[in-house]
Amino acid sequence: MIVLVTSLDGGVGKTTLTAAMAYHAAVFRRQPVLLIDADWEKAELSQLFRAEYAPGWLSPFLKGEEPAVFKVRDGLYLIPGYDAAEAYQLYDFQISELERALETWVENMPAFAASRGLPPAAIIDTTPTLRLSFLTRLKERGVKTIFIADVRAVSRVSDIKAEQYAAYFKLADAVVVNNTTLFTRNTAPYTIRRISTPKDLHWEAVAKALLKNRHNRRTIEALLDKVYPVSIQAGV
Amino acid sequence: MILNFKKGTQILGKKIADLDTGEPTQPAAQPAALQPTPALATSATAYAFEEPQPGASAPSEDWGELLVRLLASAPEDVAQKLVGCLDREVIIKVLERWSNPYLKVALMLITKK
Repeated sequence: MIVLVTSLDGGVGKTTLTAAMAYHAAVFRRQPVLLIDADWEKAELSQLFRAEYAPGWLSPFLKGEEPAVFKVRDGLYLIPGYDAAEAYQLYDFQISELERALETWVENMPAFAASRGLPPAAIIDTTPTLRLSFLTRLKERGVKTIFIADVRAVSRVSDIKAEQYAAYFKLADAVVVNNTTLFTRNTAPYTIRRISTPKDLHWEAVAKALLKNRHNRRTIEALLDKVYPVSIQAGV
Repeated sequence: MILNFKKGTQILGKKIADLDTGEPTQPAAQPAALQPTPALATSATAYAFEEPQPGASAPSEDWGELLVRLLASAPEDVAQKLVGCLDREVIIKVLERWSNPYLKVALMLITKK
């Protein structure tokens, strides 16, 4: 089971949603999760988890190295993305190369996880505006896609923007609208209410702050039911 | 072409026994930083959750253990409210039955006058 968290715009809450889903799955549902920071622009998930610099998901392709796996807590693991973000800045990458590397991960994930005793369920945090053709190929490989947006997704900024959102919505298994207020709270099947930013920007504090809100907790629970139902037990 | 797909695919498809078992190179440690798991798990169920081990004197399903489990698994706001309703002595009594050195130190600190 592989879940991809993606968006059209940056800064809409992909990494926060990924952290909250992983926390809720591992702590409250006791479903083990392997997180992969495939945000090749910023590697924010690795930073949020305060992971040390270590070979990440791109290292097998970049340097022929085994990626580092961080055990965050019981049932929760992280493969960082620092070297991918660094390489993205340093080299003239074709986007298709990074896409192909991530596709190779998806293809090899069951064997990789099984041979290293890691959870077979993975949540991948990504960079915004992944190409629709790439998302389509991943979907064909059985990857579940969660598309997250802020209220721009429902405010019709322009016709072109509306068409772009529509194309992503069509491919997504679940659409989440983040930062909703009283007036936009029922704009999508899955909404996340605005929360005050915790002082400590550490993954656990952020996840707890988001999940402290009852509505948000229900949203995360429903999302997990949709993409990672309890019936999919690890190793089965 | 910068990425080596042949090599990458080989590494991802490799079994742990075929990998170089050398320790991963680690930069200077920071107190709160996560460290890579040095020895990747070798059994298929290594990611499974570890059940808490109560002390020898604590029965496995008594009210004290159930209370601790409830408080530990409840959402933080609910747990805080529940703790607020409980007598401090009752909680200390329950915790004292667990033989865990970390717990003992924590108890010494919270009961310190």
